[in-house]
Amino acid sequence: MTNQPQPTLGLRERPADRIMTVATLIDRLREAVRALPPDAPPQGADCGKD
Amino acid sequence: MESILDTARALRRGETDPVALVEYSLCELRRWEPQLRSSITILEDRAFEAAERARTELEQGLDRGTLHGIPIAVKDLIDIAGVPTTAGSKILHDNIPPSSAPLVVDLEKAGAVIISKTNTHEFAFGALTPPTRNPLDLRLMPGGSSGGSAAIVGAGIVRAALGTDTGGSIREPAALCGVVGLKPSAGRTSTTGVVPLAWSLDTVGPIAATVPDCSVLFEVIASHVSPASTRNPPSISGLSISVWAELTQRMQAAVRSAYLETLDKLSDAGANIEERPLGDPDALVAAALVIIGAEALSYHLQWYETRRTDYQTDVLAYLDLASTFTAADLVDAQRLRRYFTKQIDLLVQKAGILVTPGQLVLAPVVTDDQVVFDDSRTGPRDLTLIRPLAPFNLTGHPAITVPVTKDSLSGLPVSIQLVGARNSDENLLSLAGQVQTICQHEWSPPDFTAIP
Repeated sequence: MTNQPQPTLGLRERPADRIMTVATLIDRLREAVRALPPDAPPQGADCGKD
Repeated sequence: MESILDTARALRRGETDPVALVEYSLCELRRWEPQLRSSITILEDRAFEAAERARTELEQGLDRGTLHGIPIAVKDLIDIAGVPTTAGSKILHDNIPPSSAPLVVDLEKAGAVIISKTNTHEFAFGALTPPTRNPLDLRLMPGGSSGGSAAIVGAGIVRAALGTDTGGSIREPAALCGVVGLKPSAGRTSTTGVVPLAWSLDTVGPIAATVPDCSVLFEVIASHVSPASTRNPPSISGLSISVWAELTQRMQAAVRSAYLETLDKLSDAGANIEERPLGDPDALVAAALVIIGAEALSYHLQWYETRRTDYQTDVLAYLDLASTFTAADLVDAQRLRRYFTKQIDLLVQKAGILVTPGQLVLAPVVTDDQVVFDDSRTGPRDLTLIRPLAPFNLTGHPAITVPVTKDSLSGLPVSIQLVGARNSDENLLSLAGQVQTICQHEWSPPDFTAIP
């Protein structure tokens, strides 16, 4: 084991040097998704239904 | 070194032989390598053995096809039995696979002679490929993550090499080094025996000096599809070409003018060009980064907590970043992915293609982490380099970058990208060849003694 903080998916602080770029990008992703039809499914949604 | 087809003819006329070809390639590699640093492992003994075998077979009339006796290189992410696959990492430095990836088996069955395993950004996780340099100007970056494969081809050491592409990693270095890079349709090439970056986006494909060289390699490594998909190779004349309106808003002036000039030439050759709004490219890049981050973190959890100090700083930072993505971010990314895929399917369904710039900027200096656009605004280097490319890893369509001209001031190459219908890779290669002919673009290796 190391002394590094343990990762917790989705809950860890974003590394400071990339936070602005990534926060902006995630905002762009969310904005694009808001413009989709509200029931637009994700890739893989059909998996196992055939 | 001449084209693969010309060399294959010369071999059969007895004007050269496979051992002489390997001697030439290894001699060139030794001359360039102190500065170029294209390769992680040079396979000198193995290459000479394979070349001698190829020479004997050809002398005895056993002809394995066009690649028989031709020197090539393979990215060090792809397994060759008994040779380390390091993925450019400290973590896998002693990883020696017992068997070769099926792609390598196919290449060696076809008689190709592998002379080196080329450098990659650690675990294919970046657009720079330190310490490799661009053979057109050693002060510039070769791109990544298949930077070693693009550099070794761009320098004229071999005519073709294998790379991998998860967010642009074949097409971007090929464009920056002035050669051709094909990301095949998803599923056309095997990824077995290849260290994964992101399973749902990873693709293996060729980087080559010219389109015909690229086709020779692709033919050997690709699975065959229904002949209907490749019947009647299309012509640029009468072809419907869509261009992505939002993608060209931020470019360097030199690239913009070369790109527009190319579209004019294609229009003069009879193509019907139409600009279409296809959405925000940065949202798609974000989707790709979230999916790559999530899948890569899943693979790297085996080392992520216990071997943090063994990663390069930028790769560890990306994994740390990936650990901040939420489940909803991943689902959002997959929703946008599916929607955009259907848009592109509709666009290219009826014998059309999409054309974009291969890169939005000229090859950056190795130390630059920002790029400057023609309106003097700056942008982050890596995101700019993958912006025109990563969206097509999301969709799985085949995409190829081909150099079409050189910037008159710097002499650096400018490429365009062609995107076609799924499993129409052969048609896309045919169109890419026509584009280079229309643009009168011919590849020649750089003069080593005159490289800055």
